[in-house]
Amino acid sequence: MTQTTMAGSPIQIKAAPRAGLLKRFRRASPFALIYAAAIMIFYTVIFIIPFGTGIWLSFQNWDFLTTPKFVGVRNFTKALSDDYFWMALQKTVLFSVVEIGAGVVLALLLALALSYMRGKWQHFYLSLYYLPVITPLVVSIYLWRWLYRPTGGAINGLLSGIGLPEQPFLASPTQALWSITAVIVWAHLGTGAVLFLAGMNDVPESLYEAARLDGAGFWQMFFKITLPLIRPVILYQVVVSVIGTVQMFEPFFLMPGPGFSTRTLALYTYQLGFQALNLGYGAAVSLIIFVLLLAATVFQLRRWQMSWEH
Amino acid sequence: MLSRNHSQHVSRRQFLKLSAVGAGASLLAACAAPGAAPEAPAAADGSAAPSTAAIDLVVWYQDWDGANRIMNWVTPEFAKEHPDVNVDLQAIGFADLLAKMLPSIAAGNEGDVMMMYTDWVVATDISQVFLDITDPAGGAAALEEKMWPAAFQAVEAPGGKVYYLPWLAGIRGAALSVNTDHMAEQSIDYLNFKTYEEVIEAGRSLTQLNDAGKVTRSGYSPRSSQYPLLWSLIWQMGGNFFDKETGKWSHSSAEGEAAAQLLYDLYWTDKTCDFELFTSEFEAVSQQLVSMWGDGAWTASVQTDVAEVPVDNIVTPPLANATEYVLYPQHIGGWGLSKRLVDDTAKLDAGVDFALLIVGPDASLQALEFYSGVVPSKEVYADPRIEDVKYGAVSKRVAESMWPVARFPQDHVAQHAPASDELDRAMRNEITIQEALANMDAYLQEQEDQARERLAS
Amino acid sequence: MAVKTNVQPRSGESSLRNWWNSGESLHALLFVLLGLFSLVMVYPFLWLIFSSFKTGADIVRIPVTLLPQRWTLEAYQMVLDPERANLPIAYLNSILVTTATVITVLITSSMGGFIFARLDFPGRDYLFYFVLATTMVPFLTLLIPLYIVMSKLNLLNSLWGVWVPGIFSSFGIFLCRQFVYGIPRELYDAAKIDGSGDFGIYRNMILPLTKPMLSALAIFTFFGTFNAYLWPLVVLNDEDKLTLPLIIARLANRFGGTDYQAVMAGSVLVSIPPLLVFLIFQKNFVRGIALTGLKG
Repeated sequence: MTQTTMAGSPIQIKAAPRAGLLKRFRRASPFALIYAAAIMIFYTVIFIIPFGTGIWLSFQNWDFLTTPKFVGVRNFTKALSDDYFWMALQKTVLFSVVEIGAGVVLALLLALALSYMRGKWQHFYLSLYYLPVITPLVVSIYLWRWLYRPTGGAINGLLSGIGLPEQPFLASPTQALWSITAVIVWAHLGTGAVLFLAGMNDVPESLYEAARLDGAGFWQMFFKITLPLIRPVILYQVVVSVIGTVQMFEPFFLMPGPGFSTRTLALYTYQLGFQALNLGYGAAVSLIIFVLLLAATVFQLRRWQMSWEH
Repeated sequence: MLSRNHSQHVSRRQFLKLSAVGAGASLLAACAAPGAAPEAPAAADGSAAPSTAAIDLVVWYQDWDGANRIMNWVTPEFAKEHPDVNVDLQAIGFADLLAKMLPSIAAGNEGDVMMMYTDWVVATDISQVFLDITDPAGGAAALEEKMWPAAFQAVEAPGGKVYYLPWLAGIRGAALSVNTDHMAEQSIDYLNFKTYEEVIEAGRSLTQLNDAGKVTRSGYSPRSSQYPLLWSLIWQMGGNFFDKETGKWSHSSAEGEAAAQLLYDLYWTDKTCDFELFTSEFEAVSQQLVSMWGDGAWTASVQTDVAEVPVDNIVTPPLANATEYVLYPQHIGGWGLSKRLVDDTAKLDAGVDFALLIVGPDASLQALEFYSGVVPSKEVYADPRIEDVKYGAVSKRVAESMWPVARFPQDHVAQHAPASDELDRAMRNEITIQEALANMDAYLQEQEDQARERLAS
Repeated sequence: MAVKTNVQPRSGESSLRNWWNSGESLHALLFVLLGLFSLVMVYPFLWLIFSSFKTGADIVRIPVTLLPQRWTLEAYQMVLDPERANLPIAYLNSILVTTATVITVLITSSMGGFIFARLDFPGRDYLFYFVLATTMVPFLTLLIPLYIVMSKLNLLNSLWGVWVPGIFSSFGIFLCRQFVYGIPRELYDAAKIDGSGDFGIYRNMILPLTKPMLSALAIFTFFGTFNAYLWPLVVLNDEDKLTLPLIIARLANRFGGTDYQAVMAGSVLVSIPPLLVFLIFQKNFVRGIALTGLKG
């Protein structure tokens, strides 16, 4: 893709070598340069320095006050042999996979249902499903924590009312993680639904017409036309969700299950830093999370061949 | 892609205008509001400021009912003697205070006077945390004299220097709290339990089950106290789990297993409590779902005054065949001063006076009006006025029975939660007791070693 | 656009399969699903609202009932009392920080989108990919070191410290850049020929044209900032600097028992600003999602 400037020299937006740095500098407007400088300062302070400090920290034994002691790669080798780390990783992966999977499927179904509606009704239902999204997560968490009470909670009241056995929910090491997962899916359903609905709206009606003429059934049309065409949207949602879900903190901090049953990597890192005051190890764990996330994202992008720009 | 719907245009423009105005106004307000501007730490010029200017004293304390009431009583008392000092009481969330304290000290913006617990600071160098107040406190020896000997064990006073003033002790595990209505229901004479086994027996008689065999009321819940109880029981059986000379943790032992087994049996054999009755023992007590529990003597005042549940305290009795009657009372709360104060004499004096006032005999006595835990000082209990404060008699009863048999391991681990969680897994039958004890040792040993590594310089 | 069908039954096939294929069964299924799920969405909020009018004892009563035994406003009175729960101040703090963040994000993102899409300077593309790459690093990895940096800058325990890391938003810049690409280049070239400076073009042309995107971005940023918990938790200490989510957590975690009355009433009050914003800007919002979700 080649464009020409006022001066007539060709500039290519991709790949090929550009005009010399000095020339571009002189040509650039002060507006752009000032902004570039500002954003560089910002990211240096907010990102590069902390990231570098984090890397340095991961090789130390420090508790905020005493002199940091260099310990080499001990923190990293410890993570590999640390049962708590692997447990946290397992919990995180389990939670993320189920939350994203259930979230996407339910959002798709919801969007499909909503696509049948017109204007006012669609708006109404959409708003309804969006209520949990706009509610501050902290509010939702405490609300659900109260609803989930094993004795005298509203959910158990409902269950026993319809003849089902009451559940321990957050009091049970096996149920706690899924109780939290349900809340998060509930809280995020609206986002996915709206996104997918918008995607579905973009699919040209003519495609459906043609398919119908060919005698296609409902499911066929859904799987052969709708889904493939909104695939980019779904994948975008999945990629973004992975990054967000893995780092999710509030639910596990404010609504924990017993013992280690809900200790995800995010919570573990926070505890290491702010409760155990084992900053070096906390930094090492958080770096490992970074590497894993990066690998996961690259893998997803490669696999599904998404490109980020036009 | 570009929507040029006019009505949308107008609303968007309005929105932007509104927010611009709003933002402008709020930014102005933010500049004006004293709270939003970054605060610089106290000036370090060393000169004593003439005390004509008002001194701002920032006091950090843990946000809970008892502390709130005590602090609100102490502050006006302090103001009487120090009219020139403006006390800024800041209640910090319970768990937050621990998380915030050390980072704030590292950043230099901690409170001037801070509430702390003895076991929070064991993993780091205490001289880096708080100001050395040996002189105002009268020296470590003077402190030791005023306190019960066991209580002094919990205080870290390296080289005879004092860095914080002990204040109150909640004694989780060493005290038992009872719902007096439930006791009356079964005519249980809880004030005269001779052995721990009698407690368990009473717990059994108080427990209620539904048709499916699930516990609907727990006669005795060890949920919040099983970890400190484990230590008490191991000692009572003649064993030890930590050697403070070598720093070696050793829960894996015959006594360790026996003690853990006893606790395990509470859930699975005696069945005085189960895991699905509640997520929070404290809330369950408020709902009157628990008859006896060991969360600490402090719970009595909060439950009685706030939740209107009638609660009384007793000391945890020993095992029938204990080699030695020993109890582990978890930790002691205290007050430390910021190291910044060394540069500001006026504030330092105010801070010292404030701390000394709070831990002093009069304020401690008054504190027992709102607080049912125990005090680590002896003179408070010798004071005849103790019978006149609401929880004085209760506190005295527990303190005089408990302190003589109390013991602290003096370890260097600040965060015991993972070990406690491991024990819980064994209690829930997720892993064997041996595994749990081994895991506990592994974790605690690592923390201990790292702390010693940091401290060795 | 709905996936509608009106398939004629083919000869020889069972009517059940036809019913299935015609999608009517699906219609029915989907409506049932919709109705059911709507209840699930709303049910907790019903509990929240009714509980906020209950007495403390009523909230924890066993068995628990939806409607209050005795309606009371004491929960609200308690939570609005500055002595007891500091909610009014937290309101102010939250609105301050959120408004400031939204304004700065809109400005920096729209500028950035324009600059990265249409203007040039050495290293532009590298800088852009770097900005994008920063989203790869989880906030957790930066949490503790960023805290340390903020403490060195003396920004801790102040609303400034909460605001600063949010000034530039990689996400916002990315979205605006995409959007600006959609504005025909000819318009830009024409404006340049007319002699406008780049800032002038930004203010007079780009800003108005990107309004739909900016509305959506404003709304996203509003919710993200208003509801934020972890970073404000770490930065703020003083009770009179806390934002709303922190106040609710504080009320709920008061050692010595969750003050459920305060939490319920407080939660209702805390949810009002986002609800208002949502109701007012619904149309923009949905439109905005549609715009951000599209890939081309």
